[in-house]
Amino acid sequence: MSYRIAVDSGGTFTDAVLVDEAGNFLSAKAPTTPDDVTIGTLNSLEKAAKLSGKSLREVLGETSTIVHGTTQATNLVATGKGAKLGALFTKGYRDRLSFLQVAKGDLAGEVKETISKLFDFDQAQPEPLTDRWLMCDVDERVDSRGEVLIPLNEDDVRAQAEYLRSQGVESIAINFLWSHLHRQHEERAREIVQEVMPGISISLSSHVLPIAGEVGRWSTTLFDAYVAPKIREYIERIQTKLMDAGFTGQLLFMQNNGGVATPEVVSDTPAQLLVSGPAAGPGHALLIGKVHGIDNLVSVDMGGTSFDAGVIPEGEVNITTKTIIDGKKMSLPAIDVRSIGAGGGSIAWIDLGGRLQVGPQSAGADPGPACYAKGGDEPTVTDADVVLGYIDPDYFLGGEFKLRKEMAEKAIKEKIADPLGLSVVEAAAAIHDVINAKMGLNVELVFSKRGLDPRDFTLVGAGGAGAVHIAGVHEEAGTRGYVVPKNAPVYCAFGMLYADMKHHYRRNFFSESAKIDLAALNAAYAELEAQARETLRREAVADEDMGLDKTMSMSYYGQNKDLEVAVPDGAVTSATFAETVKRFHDKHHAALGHSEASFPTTINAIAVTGLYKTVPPLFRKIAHGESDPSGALKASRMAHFSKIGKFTNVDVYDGNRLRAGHLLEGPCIIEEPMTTIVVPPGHRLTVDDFGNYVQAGREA
Amino acid sequence: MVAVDRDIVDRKLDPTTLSVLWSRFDNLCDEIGERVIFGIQSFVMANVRDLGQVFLDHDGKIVSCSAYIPCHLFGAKISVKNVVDKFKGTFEPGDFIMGNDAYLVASGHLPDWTFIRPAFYEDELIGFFQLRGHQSDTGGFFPGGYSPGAYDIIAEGLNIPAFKLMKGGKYNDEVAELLYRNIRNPEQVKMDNLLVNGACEKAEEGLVRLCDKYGVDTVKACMQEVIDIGERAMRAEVAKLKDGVYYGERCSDWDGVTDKPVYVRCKATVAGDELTIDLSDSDAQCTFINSPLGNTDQSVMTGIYAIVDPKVPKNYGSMARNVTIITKKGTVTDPEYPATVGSCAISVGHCIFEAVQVCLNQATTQRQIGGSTKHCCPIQIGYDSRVIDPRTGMALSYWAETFASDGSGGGRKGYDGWTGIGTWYHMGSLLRPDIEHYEALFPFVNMKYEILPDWEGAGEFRGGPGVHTELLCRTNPGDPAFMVSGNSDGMVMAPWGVAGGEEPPTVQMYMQSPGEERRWYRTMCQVPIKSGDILTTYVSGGGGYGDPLDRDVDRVLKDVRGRLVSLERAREVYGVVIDPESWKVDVEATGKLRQAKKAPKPPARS
Repeated sequence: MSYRIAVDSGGTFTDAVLVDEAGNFLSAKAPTTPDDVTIGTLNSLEKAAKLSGKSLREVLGETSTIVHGTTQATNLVATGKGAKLGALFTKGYRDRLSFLQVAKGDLAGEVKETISKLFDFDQAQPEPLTDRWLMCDVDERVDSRGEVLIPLNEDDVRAQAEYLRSQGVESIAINFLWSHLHRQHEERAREIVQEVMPGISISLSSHVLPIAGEVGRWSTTLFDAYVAPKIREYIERIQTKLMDAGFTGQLLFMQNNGGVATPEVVSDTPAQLLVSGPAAGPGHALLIGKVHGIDNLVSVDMGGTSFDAGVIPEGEVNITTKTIIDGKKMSLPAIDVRSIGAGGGSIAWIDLGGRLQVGPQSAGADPGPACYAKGGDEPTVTDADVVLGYIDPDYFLGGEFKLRKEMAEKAIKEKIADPLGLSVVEAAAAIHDVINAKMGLNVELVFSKRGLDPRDFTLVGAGGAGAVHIAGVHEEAGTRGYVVPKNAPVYCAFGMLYADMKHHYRRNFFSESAKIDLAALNAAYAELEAQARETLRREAVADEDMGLDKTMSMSYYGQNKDLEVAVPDGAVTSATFAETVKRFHDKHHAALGHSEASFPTTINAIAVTGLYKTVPPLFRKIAHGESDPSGALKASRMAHFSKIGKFTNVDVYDGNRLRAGHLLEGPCIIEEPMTTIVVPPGHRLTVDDFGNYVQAGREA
Repeated sequence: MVAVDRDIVDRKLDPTTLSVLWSRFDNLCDEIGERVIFGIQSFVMANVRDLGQVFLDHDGKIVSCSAYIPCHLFGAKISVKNVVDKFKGTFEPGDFIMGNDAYLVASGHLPDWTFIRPAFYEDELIGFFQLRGHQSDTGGFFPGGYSPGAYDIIAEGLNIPAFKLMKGGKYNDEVAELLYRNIRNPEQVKMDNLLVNGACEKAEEGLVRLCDKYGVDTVKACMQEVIDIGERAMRAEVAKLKDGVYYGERCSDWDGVTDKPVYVRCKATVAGDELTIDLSDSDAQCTFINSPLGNTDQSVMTGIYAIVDPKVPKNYGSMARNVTIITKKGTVTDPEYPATVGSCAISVGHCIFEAVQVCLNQATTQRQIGGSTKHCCPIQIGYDSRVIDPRTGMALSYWAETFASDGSGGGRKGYDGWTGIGTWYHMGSLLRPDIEHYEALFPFVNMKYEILPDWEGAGEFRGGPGVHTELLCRTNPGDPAFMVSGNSDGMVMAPWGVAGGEEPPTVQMYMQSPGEERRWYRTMCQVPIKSGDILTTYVSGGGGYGDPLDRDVDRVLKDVRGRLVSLERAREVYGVVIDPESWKVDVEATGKLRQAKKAPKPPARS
């Protein structure tokens, strides 16, 4: 017997999923232990092992691979507990990152602020990751052609390094202008710093992200230096703990690009772990898509405070380099998951214009929604869901935790219903509808930005709170259909099990397309491919198993942003180059509504993705039944649906007793141990061979 | 006085639908901006976000504004109305209208072109999408439209009355040929313009989907409801202001021709929930910095919105129903043809924005904020014969700006001013480009990009710090190159301090050739620059809020340790004594010093 394990250590819970060779899955949740995350991680594994009827040592001894997702890096930044950081910049540029890195309306990341936020002066400017007196500059300058204008002043570097040592810094970032074209100055500075502070963690911008644009490159490098010492320490600690517990297999880490990497490779650039939390969601959606032959998918994940949506057109997960963390750029290629403040804990409120708003503020886990009766008096989405009869107050998280409906009603009445002149139920329905619309809009934006049509896409996902809302999100976003996976409550952990090894390598390569030198281009690709191969070899991947995908960042001459287009496999020939240029025109037209085939284009950068594909999962089929699900009926209760406009008595089914082929006609409710699925009137779900719930098309 | 719900129509909209559709209107505008920023070749639109998108109703009334630069948004109240009046009854699906005429469209200076696409549902005109943005060229005697000294508006740039570049989806060949023949790098500008059309067309498709889903009547009702909510919110906010008549004046350095400051004078009258802004007493029109009506209007509104609750919806309802704006023909705030307008926004427009705030700060202390710097960052224009631009087949003609030297924002109760945010006139929506992107395109190297110590307006909450930049010219000897400060202002009047906060110093600039004396350089100028020359700028920080002697000592310590404030200034201005060895505050000495400094002060300043 051989197991694969995924263990996803999140903000509140650590999820573990265990799968054996026959495709049998077991999952467990344990509370995350923030003081020493390894404890919660081991606890969740222990729980999963227990479910299998074996000891943790027995299970780990038979485990070939553990994929570990951790929010450690994200948390270090969120809590300000990273390293005491020193930085060296090009002379005259120590303050570069202290200016706004994005426009004020974009500080929250991809989520656009409304214009009101621009006129709100009651906010502090985001601050850099370290104090001004620890950001030093040294004499050196390279120009835009990569030529040295002022040689590196080594005495200067030594003096600044001595100063930073005297200040007790724990990690150093070296950020020089144009270092992506001329890395020697940064590398020489590193040598000098190492002499002054042997063994100190040093991050170079030409290593972390060797591309043009100093703000993104340097900011990412500061993030890397900020998290590096503690992440490396964590990696060692978890490795040791797992080994001590009997694990002899391969440990892999989930990176923010949706791929996995060995501890050694992650340690090279620990910033790869930032915002890696939701990165595995799209992978799970892809697995479901493959089972059902669906290419165009949207992965959605709704938890307590945030709602993540990632689009997967034609089976390709999108990658973004535009992540914003606390107002600062993190420009490593990361899974393009759009997060907004919308979850079970989102608070409903009324704005100045008398408009009902839900979120982005969340009541969190503490005090939590009013119905938790832990002192929260703000009405939340969960409160509305309880009032509407979707969530059984006595069966929340499988009954582990009782909710108080009367507290939910009180909060909604006082804060929403009375001010708007609505009944409590009307107000609850409005909260439910507004949050669905908000999530729907978020999903729709994921499409419209890329020129995609929501009607071609199927929603996959859930998360703790998502299954109550997925039908509404589907209607709002206008998607083709939706699927709630059987493993919805451990959505990301499950996705991690099957993530590929994936590493991105980029470099500048500028040429007008009309003047392309194919030999030089192929030589540049060969250099990147060699880097990708070397990394995969370090991860013990055989050469014949490596996948190497080439892309080209292109623009029309004079444009300031690039579109990344795939380059056909093999050495680039004039034919494949022409094909790539054509792909650029097509992609530009789809995304922006305009293109001109005769307009001069340029290549600005090239990239290679090194891939090692994981063996796909073997799903175990569940027992088959007829279409009638009445055998799984567990109860009935009153629930309110906007479409009907009043409370209706609906059937409640036990998810674990449902069989493949069962057809569930809305309105009804399905209760799984860790989540509740609401099937509104007019919706029908069928249970597939693996226990997933698939929308079966709507009745006329 | 309490706000009166005048003319309130019950449109029978449920709160969910209203909330959803309102967000969708905002988003349609945002998406136009995102597409355009992605694809546009204009350096300032792509890298600096020098654009703005607005959604208006069938009558040209603003429904919703995106979170972009206010000067490209609120001016639509006048400019789109002018265009709608011109073409009333002739709009058809697939039209795409553009124009920049300072007197006919009246939105502002010539390089900011206004684009309007009517949006139809089936055959019904539902509304308009407007985008206004800074083109990389607009014709005229120098590229970029920011060169002072044009003889008249004809010399300053091409005057384009609103016309249909696309008529019913068909490209208007003849007019377009005439237009682009008079523009530098015509292929680029043309493609940029068509890209805007593509982006607006996609927004129109989005609006059609909304009508399909919610019903066209519901969408239209929501548009009007949103406008009414804007009015109610603005009336409620004006009612909170103290009734009275208030005066304020601010000045621009000069117009580049006549050597004297140019004043904007504002009289604000608050009466119940009605607000009147009267600019009639401003200086007579001059050259270069005159503000066309649309620009004047948007500057007033930006000033008002900065004082009232930020959540007041920015639309026709809050702009036009209880706010009256009075100007006098022949003044800098309402110039007559053919006066030039090149720097209307950053100079006179900015002064209007400030003067309105100076007035209204007397009517409320709710949202006082220290003044911010004006825009100050000279432009580079010229040819680079070493680079052949494949779009023209000729030597690269450039019009460049680093946006590195912009100063900072003012302090506000509870918050220090924002570092290098530039003018609050743009509300933080202007973005600093990467210097590597700038240097990749233009033959200049930015050698210094730093905070300037001791140039903040002191205060309990200080203004943001000053900014120090040095730009080295590396042009090809023999290629013409100019440094243009027509877009810069702030040498005469510093940003204000409030509630006892102080003013920062005013702006300074100089040029220096290797081995030569400094040549002090003024705003509103254009001078040749040659390889090896360095332009140095010292730009003000923001104005302070509150007495600097009340500033939290730990904040002072942090500023001193970070060398934003010198030890001497900490002692003299903030009354804080710090030991630079241990980085500790001498609490006792500080207490005594602050007491001594406070004692001789005259009783309460007004």
